[in-house]
Amino acid sequence: MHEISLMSDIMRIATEELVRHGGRRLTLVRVRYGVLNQIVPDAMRMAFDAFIAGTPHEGAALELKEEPLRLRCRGCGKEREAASREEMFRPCPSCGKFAGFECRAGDGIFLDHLEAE
Amino acid sequence: MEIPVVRNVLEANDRMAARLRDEFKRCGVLTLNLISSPGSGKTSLLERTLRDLGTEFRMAVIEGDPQTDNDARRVAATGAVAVQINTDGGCHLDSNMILAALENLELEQLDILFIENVGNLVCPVEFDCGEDAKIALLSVTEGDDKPEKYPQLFRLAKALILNKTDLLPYVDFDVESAARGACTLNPDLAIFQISCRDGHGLENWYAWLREAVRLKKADA
Repeated sequence: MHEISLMSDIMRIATEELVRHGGRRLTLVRVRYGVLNQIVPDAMRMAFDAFIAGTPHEGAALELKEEPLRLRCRGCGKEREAASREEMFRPCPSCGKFAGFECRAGDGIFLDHLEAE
Repeated sequence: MEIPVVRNVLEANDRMAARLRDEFKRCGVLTLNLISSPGSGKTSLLERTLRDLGTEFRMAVIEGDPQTDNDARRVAATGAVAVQINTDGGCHLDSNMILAALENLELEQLDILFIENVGNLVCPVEFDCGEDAKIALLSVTEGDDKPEKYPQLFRLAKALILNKTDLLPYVDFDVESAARGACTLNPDLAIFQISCRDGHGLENWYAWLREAVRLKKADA
């Protein structure tokens, strides 16, 4: 449900950048977020549609990119991309130990790229 | 036209949170952000803590709720200052709401400021309120797999309070399993098993608070 607050920030930043670059109308907004941020894509899309309805940006596309988790084993130090969050609770595939992991990527919400007219 | 940008979506909240953090530091106020599901006992923990440590520390509470001032009234009944924020259905507090609440508080007259966030294990975690620590609460009437379902909170919290331990004989909650899940994410996590109802284990929580206040004052 925090998707509405996030979208409000996303649109604030996007229109700021649009004005700064002399654009008139957003055609594409790309957002990148980590697996750990527990964002619901459908809720983001719904919020986006609500924010652009009746504005010059109506019809713009929203691209959502989920950044996978990178885990570093606290035992052997080996770093790898994890296929799911559940892997945080499993032993390290390299050393076989259950030492826990540091998250090196997969946390953070960024406005990544805009396209405009 | 392509506009390359890489901007943190939460930058405005984070900037305000940093300002609040500076202010809390200047005043030497330990600020704790309590996060849990609805009904796990945040308000009960505050009632106990405010009563038991009321002569030792000057404390205030910012209460976040979607509706009603019921919790603020419960907290105020202990004699502590309580400021209610109604989010009007919103699922979390953010740093601007905290800034607004501070208008009703004398920070320089405080040792501890508790922020009781809206009951929710996902959204409040993303919005920094300038706190020194997030405190996660989990009650034994919930699932012991909460750390696996909501890793972000348990990764970022400094302490985990397991509440309602007086009910352990009647429920299937596996304390070991919950603690293991949380510690896998966060090896430095302090864990307290308490019952706000019978007072069991609260002394350990109070000892942690005393040390945190001491460190905060030393850093001010």
